[in-house]
Amino acid sequence: MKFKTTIPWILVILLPAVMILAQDTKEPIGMDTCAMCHPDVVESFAKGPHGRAMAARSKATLERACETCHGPAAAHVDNPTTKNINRHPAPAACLSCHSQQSGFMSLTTPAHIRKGVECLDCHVPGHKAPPAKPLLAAEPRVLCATCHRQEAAQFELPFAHREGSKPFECTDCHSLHGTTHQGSLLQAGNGGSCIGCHTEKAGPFIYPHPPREVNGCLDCHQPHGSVNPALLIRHRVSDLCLECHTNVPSFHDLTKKHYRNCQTCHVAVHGSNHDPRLFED
Amino acid sequence: MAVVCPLLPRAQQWTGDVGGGYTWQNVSGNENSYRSQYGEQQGFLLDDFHLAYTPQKDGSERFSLKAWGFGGAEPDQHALLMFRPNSAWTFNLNYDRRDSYFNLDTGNLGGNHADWNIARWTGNVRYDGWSALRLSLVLRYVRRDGTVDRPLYGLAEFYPMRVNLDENMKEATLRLETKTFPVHIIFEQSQARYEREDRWAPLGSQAYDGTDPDVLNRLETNRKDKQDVPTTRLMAAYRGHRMEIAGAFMYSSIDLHSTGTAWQGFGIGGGQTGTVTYIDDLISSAQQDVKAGNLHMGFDLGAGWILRLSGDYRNTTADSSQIGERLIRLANPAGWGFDLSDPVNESGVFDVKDQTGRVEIEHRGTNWSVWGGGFTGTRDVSWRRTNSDTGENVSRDSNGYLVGASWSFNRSMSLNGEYEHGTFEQYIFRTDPEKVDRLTLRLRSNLGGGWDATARIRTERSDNPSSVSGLNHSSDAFGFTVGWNSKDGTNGFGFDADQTDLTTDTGIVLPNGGAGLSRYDLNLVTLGLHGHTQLGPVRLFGNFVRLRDEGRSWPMRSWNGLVRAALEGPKGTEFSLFAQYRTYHQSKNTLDDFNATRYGLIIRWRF
Repeated sequence: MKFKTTIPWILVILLPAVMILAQDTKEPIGMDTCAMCHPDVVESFAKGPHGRAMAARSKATLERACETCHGPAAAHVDNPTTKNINRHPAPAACLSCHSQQSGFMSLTTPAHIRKGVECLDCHVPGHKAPPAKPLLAAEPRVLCATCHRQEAAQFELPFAHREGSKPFECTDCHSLHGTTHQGSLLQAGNGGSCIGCHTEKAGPFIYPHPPREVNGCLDCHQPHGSVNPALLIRHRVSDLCLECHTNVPSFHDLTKKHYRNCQTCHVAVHGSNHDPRLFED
Repeated sequence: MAVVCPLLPRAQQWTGDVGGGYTWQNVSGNENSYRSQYGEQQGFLLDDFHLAYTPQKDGSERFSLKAWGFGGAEPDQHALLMFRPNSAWTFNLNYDRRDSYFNLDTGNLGGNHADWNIARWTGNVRYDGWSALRLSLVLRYVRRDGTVDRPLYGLAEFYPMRVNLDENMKEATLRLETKTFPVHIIFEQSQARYEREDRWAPLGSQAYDGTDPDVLNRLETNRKDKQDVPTTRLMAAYRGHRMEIAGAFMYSSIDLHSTGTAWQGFGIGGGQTGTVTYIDDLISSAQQDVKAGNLHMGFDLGAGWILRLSGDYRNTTADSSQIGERLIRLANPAGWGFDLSDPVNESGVFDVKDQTGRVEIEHRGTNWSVWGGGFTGTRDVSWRRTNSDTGENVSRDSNGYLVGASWSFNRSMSLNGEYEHGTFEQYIFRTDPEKVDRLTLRLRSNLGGGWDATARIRTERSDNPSSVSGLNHSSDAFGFTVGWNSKDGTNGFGFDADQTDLTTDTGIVLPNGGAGLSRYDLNLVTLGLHGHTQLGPVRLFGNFVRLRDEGRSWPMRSWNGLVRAALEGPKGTEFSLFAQYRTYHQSKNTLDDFNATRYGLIIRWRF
């Protein structure tokens, strides 16, 4: 795509924009009204972390908390059945306050939403003490593994991203609420989110290694785990290198062990500040 | 670690727990291989420490201190301190340290030994006292220390050398975030400095083969690499009733300077004949500019139709130069000699420009949705490392499409699948595929009575023609999970089974000019069983994983098991025992095999 035909793009953007409708506004039912029938729920919520956070924002925010999540309750007050109240709040209810989680907006970053994953699949509403922060039903690695079992299994491989016996938290590298925040911009740099920890490989280098600069770390490494040392995508290092390098001088005798590990001499595989052949870091 | 308690009112609610103990370890086989994989050792272990202050009544002051992993038994240590004296100010201090160890006897990387640690400090001060804005200052300090032992190639032989690591990074970031504006805006300005002063030392004078008469008699460097990285980030998001827009932009301008001299000296014939010393006396610098941005937009068109548009842009330009000289200093045993000088005056460039665009339309029903769309992109890469380098200048166009569907039934069962197809019209690297086909299917089911089941399939095919590298890649992964949990969560178990078949064939050119084939073949089966239950006063937890790779590249098998039993004691105490069993066996060699058992006693006190 050449990005020269900008006018059609602008039209494509503007036409849906003019279809925005004004939001409804209604008088809220207060928390005290809800407490008449649900005193335990209201009390524990108000004392819990979610309720305290709302109170810290404003007393009014806490006062309308029940309706914020469970929807308009006037009909429910008149006729208390489960059919006229949202027992399971939709993501829109959460986003009405947590608009800063813009990456999890159902329209722009839909992968989780359209596959049926909603806020309350990972988070708890805060009616009682949450098992993990922030208001999580479990530690992130446990929650993610509920669906992403294959990725979770990769942390059991011999060479894996582990903190001792535990895997890294998924949220150390992944932005679950989308890619509009810092995560995507780190990706846009050199090496993506990896260099947040592996700062010594941040670059730039006087003599860079092109795949690292163009595609990042994943051209050579498997981030979750691998059966190969150093989380490499190949067992034999020379195979990995020769797949790109087609003009290797003939004195490289691959029957000898040190030639099968190109890194024996070309140590600076991530880039060198001193040697164009990557002989020195 | 030292803890300074904050000055908070007494008679408030302090809670916490501390758990610590000792772990014993017994490894048969290659203990270095075990440590390379898990990093664990015998010793004391702080399993968990948590001290928290929460006011009993309304109040926003908080204090929390968490720490775990200290004591020597675990390779990772963490400490988190949070202090909020009032609703406006929050202070966070995080510390983590990782010990990295690598020492294998097999594989190509055998001979490289690494034993280093990386410590990271992050301090965060946040002011939340304004109604419309939130202000944060984040300070980071990262330091890597330790040693890397590796071969040094010199005079056609390999000599043992050690690199003493001395690397650090300091960064300060000021962050401003809106809270109440219709448009949520985040502005960040950061300034980082990276420094590296690694030092070389010989680990012996004799070459590895032990017979070569030449000896390594000088290995030294005083080089210092320094780079300054100012980065500006601006992110904005708007969420209306039927429209969402989120965008981000980053600009970074990096200055790199490297100065210093390196010496590699050899005694010919043990020094009896004379000495030769290679001296690099160079000054290097680079300037890299990075501009990156993205824009994501979504529109609810009504009647269940949703339109999404997104685009990403990255433009990186780097110019580098290196001046100075490389010397070969020859001297006779008496010290008389001369220098052969090779002046260096090099320059290079490395530019990457990426642009991608994506359009997607989705139609949602009550419990189903279907979607489809297309994506397109361009990539321009040009680089030249040295003046004599002919350089590369490559452009690539790519495009593709995807279709998907999802269906759910009362949140008890959901099925979703997606097919994606993409093509590259040209290649940057010869391993880039020309075509990629990817299919993902996932089934989630809540069967009732505490039972749930999932199944997943992911298959991928990619290739490129023999005129490029003859790439032929296939990857098939299948798996299912069955689990059960009692209503109160006291008892439960789960069983996972996954199989991954992956084969990649790539045509290569051997150093002798002949054609060859790089084949990587993985046939991996992962079986996992985990469960927890309560037997009287004892809580039991177990987790077992069986791995078996029967692929042709480097087959192996391993077991990984953990059993933990916890008994509630008096006055908030808990006594727990754990036992771990880990094995690793390669099919083609036994040098790195191990069987490891690890067991420990942890005593916990909650207060």
